Amino acid sequence: MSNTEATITVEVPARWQDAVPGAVLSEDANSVVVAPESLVALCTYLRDHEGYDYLSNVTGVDYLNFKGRDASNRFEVVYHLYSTRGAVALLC
Amino acid sequence: MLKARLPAETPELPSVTPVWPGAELQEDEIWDLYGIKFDGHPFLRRILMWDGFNGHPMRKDWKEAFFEEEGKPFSSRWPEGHHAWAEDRVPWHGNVNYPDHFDPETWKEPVTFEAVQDEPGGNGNGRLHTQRIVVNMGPHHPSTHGVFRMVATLEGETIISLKPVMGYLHRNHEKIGERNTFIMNIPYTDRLDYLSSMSNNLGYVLAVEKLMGIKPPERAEYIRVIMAELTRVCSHLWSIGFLLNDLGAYFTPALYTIRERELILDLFEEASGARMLCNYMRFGGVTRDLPTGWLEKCNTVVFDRLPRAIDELERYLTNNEIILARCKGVGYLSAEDLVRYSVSGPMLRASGLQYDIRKVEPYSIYDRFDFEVPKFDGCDVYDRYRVRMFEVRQAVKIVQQALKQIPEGEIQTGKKAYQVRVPAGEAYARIEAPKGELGFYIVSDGKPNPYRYRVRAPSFINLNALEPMCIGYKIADSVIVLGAIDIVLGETDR
Repeated sequence: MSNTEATITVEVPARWQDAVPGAVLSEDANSVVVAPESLVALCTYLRDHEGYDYLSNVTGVDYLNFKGRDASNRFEVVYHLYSTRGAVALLC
Repeated sequence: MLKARLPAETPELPSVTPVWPGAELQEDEIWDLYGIKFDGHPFLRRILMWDGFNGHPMRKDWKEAFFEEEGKPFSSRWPEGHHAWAEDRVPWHGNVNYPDHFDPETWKEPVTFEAVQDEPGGNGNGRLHTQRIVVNMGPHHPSTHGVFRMVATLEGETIISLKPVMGYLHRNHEKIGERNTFIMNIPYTDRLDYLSSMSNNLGYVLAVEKLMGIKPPERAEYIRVIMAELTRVCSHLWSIGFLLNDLGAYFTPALYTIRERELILDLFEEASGARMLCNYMRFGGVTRDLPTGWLEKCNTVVFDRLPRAIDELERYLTNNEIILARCKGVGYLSAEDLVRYSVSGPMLRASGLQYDIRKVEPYSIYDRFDFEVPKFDGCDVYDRYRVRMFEVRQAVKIVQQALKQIPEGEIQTGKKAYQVRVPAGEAYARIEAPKGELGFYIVSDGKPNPYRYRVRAPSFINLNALEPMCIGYKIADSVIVLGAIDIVLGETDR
């Protein structure tokens, strides 16, 4: 990852882990990698308790033959969450 | 930003539609284009392609029929002076190739219906024996503003359910965008919402500038804001005019609004060379400075002409008896539901929620201007109309301020280049486009072509709310509910 201003390393608050244990797999540049099986639980928590009530964008990316990727994590689904009660984007 | 990573074999993910029903159309799209299955999705279907289409075209290993190379610029079609025929490259030759278990003879489309069916209870309203009838509107119907289809189930005239069917204008914008170089995508964004090309340009260049870490000079910022707000005036006037068309006032009010739009298109033409598909903005600036005399002309339009024209329109329309009768209370959906359905733009602001990205997350230089975000809370078609009228006034107000403040100076950071270097990384930029939240999600791997180029199209995602807004109203109302969503099919289908 480059060091442009768009890239901010994310730190997930510990209360997320407490609320939905095991949901957050890793904290990446600009994003949080989520375990697929806990996705709905984490989303529900974020909507109800963290104020992220607005799902702006959902999209897929195919990382075929991409640096650092293999067949076990070829596809990625990306969710952009916001809050309509403020500007907060999900930690970035 | 949340991410879920999935394996290459049988990618599956639980659907988030129970949390946000607004994910429905977008998950349909991911299934269609990537082949990622969503468990628990209410109606997973191929939304843009048709069922007889083999493969999932956004996958990197899917190649189109006349595939040449991974990325542009392509090498010569005349290697050593001999022409290579594109037809020789067709991998399918016959060009018809169905997926497994697909038989065109027995195929039925996913939005299938029995034209007439007995109502389960047997009697409507407890008095009459009724039958449900399915009415198909579109794809070729003047009320759908393009090639869009609504399949409505009716009881009497009342809508019981309504399914949007789209994809007739699909050209896989995003796949083509991955093939193009970064700069080639700027004119291509014009073709999304072709009524507001300047806004599309702005959203895209902001996303790429985020990755490149550059900012345009002051003068270019002002030019961008002026262009984006004039676009908003155009788009809203067009939408108001065509809402009146949908109401049956065929083209008389529309021509009043189109007349004003023409003046703005004249300004666009003079600055960019094109009236609709402007291709005006560049990474770190705009393509060329305003011509001599442009600002004076713009002053005349913005200070003298438009405010009076808007007054005139309001005088004719806002308290018009027919508009009140047809629009008030129609298409009601509360603010909470609109947020759940991921609706953005004027529709959201017509429900009492003052959510405008220019205010909550100011991009470009919007924090310098004094303007108001409308607050109407009728949640109906009438207030959606009033929000647009209000926003036209505010857009004019912003342009007036920008014209007073615009400095002299450079219009481009760095040198103009045919090829830009975009560092590896990813960025999401969103702007308040006339139709709603327009987002661009760009993933770059440092090569000349974007690795992923995603458009969050407001016209597409706002359609999530079409069915809930129509249920319980008359079939004739569905036309104006759709008109008040204000879709442009170039953006819906991409």
